[in-house]
Amino acid sequence: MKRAERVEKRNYKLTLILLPGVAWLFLFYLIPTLVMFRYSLLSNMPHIAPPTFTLSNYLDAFCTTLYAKVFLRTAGFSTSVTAMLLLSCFPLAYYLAKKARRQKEILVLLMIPFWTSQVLRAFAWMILLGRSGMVNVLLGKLHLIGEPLRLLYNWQAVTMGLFYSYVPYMVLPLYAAIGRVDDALLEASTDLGANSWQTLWNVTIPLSLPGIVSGAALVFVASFTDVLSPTLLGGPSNEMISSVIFNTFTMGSNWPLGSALSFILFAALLLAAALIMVISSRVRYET
Amino acid sequence: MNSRQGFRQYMPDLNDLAHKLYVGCFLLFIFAPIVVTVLYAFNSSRYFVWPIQGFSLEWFRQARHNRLLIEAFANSVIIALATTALCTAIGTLMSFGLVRFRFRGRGFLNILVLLPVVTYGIVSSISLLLFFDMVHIQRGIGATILGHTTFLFPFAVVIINGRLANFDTSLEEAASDLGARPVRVFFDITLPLIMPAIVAGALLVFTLSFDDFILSFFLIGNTNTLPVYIFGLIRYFMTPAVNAAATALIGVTMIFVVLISFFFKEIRTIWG
Repeated sequence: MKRAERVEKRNYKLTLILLPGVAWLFLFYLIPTLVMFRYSLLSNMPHIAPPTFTLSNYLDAFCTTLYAKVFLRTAGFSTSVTAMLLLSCFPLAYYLAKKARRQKEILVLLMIPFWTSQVLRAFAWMILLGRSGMVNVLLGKLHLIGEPLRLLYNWQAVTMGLFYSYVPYMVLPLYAAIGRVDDALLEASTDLGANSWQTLWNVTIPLSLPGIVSGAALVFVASFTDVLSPTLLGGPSNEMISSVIFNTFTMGSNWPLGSALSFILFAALLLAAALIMVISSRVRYET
Repeated sequence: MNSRQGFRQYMPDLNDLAHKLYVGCFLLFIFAPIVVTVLYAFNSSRYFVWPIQGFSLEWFRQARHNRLLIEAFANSVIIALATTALCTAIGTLMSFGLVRFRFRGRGFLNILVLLPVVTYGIVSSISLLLFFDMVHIQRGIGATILGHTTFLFPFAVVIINGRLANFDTSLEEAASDLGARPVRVFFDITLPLIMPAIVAGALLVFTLSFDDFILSFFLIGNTNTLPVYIFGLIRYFMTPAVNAAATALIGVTMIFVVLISFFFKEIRTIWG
């Protein structure tokens, strides 16, 4: 009897503790997601005419070459930015974790772009890369170019914007993982006659694989859903999936189609997150 | 032989120098855009031409009399403060429940609470926009606070979880052995011990809320937050008044960066 009372009291307490968060998630996360799904099945905007339920928005999204192209382009941007960040941040993270003296200060500095608003990051690059912006003027002064280059509103500018925004997403996991690699193992490798490249390839990189996986995953997912880089730095031929959805809801009026695209992106994100969890648990297990 | 040894000794230094140079260039790359943005806020010319023409406080003077800008700034502060309060309360409770209790559905809840972090961005903004539209919640500051809280309290949960999970429970046990009731144990022992994580979470949530663009853009209705206001300006016409607004935004953010760096360990648990 007493035990049952205690259990009841515990359950009552637990309910009180969890209720606000769980209720909030149901009300403002799960239900809105279902509302979006329902909207994606409508034949037209409800205030124009009574809509019927249809799958045509999904057919449009999957079968129109325009959207297929946009999805492929988005994947291309995210993949290349992830690869570029991995290659450029690994040496940086290695130096910070193993050699630098002021590790913490440099890391805080590197996180600055993460802490400034995304709008500002894009704006800053618009000023720098403009026709008479600093980059063009300096290149002209060095006589490297005759005419100002068109540096904005192309895929290079979008890539630059994405790269700049997600540096911390790559550096921090790499730094944490490389920091955990035991120095004794690196010394042992050198003592056994491996040169520094062999040590890097056979010891450091395999042991920091968990960081590589989580850094790459964070950058890939974040750049996949980035709105501002393509909207502000890209031209009409550099649209990514998020900016297409953004435009559908701000300038266009086909909300049901926009909802369908949005729901596809939602499903893709969940799938990616599940995949990443599986891969990273396997990687952690092996190292 | 001797010279060769000398060379060997010199080698690591060269290596180190290359590394330092690389880090220096990287930092330059990180800071150049921000520094240039701030410089143009003090430029006397209205065009974004390099080099800077001269020093002037004209744009700040204009910004001070710009009603829309001040309103946007005030909205941003109100939204960030309310969101931080809500996220801290909900997040602390939820984290405590998730870490300290074993119950059915705990694994599911652990994943559910991370979903908003995964889909934060355009997808979540659209779903909230449609939901508020359906239940006739007026877009505006209130709707934006609801939206921000939904997607930012999971960040607080993750950070506080990190602290609660690596936590020596013997102090709590001692307190309850000495006769303290559970509520008293929580407020006198547990809460002070996890306070650094709570503060770190609150700072992170404030910054993310203050800087958020996409949720605010869809939920704020016919008023503005600072990032939404700046977005509107740079999309349609650019003047250095934007830089003055941007400098204000950077200033607030920098203060928080300094504060957050104190709680660096806590923040790092997000990256795993």
